[in-house]
Amino acid sequence: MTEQELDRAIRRLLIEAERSEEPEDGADVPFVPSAHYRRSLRAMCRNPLKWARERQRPVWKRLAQRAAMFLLAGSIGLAGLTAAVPSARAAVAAWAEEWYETHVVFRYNGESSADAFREFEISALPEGFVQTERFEVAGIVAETYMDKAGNVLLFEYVYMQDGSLTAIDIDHVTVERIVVNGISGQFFKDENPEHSNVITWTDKENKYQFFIWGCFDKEEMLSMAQSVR
Amino acid sequence: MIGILSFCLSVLENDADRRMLAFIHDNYLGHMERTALSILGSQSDAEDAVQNAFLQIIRHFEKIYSIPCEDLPFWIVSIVRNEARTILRKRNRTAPFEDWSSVTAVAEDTSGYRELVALVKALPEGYRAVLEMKVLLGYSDREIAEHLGISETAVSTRASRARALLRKMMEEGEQS
Repeated sequence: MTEQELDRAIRRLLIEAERSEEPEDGADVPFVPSAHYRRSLRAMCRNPLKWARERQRPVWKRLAQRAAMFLLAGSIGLAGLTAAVPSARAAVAAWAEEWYETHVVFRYNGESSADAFREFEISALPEGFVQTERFEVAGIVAETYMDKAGNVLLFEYVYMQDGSLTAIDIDHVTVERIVVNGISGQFFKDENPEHSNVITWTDKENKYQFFIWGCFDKEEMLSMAQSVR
Repeated sequence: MIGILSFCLSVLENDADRRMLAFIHDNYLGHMERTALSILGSQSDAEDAVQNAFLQIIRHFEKIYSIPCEDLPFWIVSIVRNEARTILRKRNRTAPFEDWSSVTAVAEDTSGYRELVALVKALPEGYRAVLEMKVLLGYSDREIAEHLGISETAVSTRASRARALLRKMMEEGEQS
């Protein structure tokens, strides 16, 4: 038997083995696709190559891009709406938190402060983490930190101006209320330990919303949040 | 990896390829999802496994045309199974116990084709995964090593052991 014949025979055997192990329809727990997953597959069908390129990027890069783009798009989107429709401005509260099945939206409508934009930092970074990237645009700052093992931490803050909104995907997460230096916020814990958790809190007096993303537990993230100066 | 994907990009620019991918999505997605969920038990992990499987299908798209039509669903499901097992291995951070001696003992009682299929099913998970990725899916040794968290040498050893055993069984079956 040649090597090619052997390969063909083994291929046949593997297929037969696979065939005999097929689960029967309806025999399993129902698969309930999340909105994020459905969006991802739709994107794949629209443009498989772009989707594949995006999918094979490291998780932290995808996360960084998704977080930053979401914030930027949101901030510009509602700002445009409220500028064009004066009644929209009057109709919404100054600060709003909207919970949907798949995501939560934080909005601010009201006075835009003329104060100078401030910079913040996490003074108690986990050991070994150093800043590797910084992104700043239109009142949004996103800083990426990494350690030697490749673990990633994202620190973001947004200067909430009239019409700004931010959002967090809440598919497969549990939410817990927390307090950061006297300011209320939320801790979003992903059910998959390989996915990032998020902690966020809003300093309404100074109009900044903060986010820290990373694979850390609540206490570690709270400790980082409390050290933001 | 970029090089391989770039190649696939040109393949998938073809309308026929795009139709084939849409066909796979429309006809086998449910099957893929059920398989991933039955292995992983977690909705979130199952979604990752299915998406990783699609990524592998896109990366190895040229392979699809060498698979007979009736075998295509099983080829696809084997990709999902392997992606699900990779997630399971990473989640548990343990390597499964690979008892090769028990397989060689089973092999002594193997004579017909059905028994050969049963022998393949009885292969330790790590050996069968190597064979599937190498022979069925066309992965390189490096890709297999990355998926299974073992060295390329271990991939090669497992593949040659499994191939040698199956060759022996098949040749003995032909003679008897």
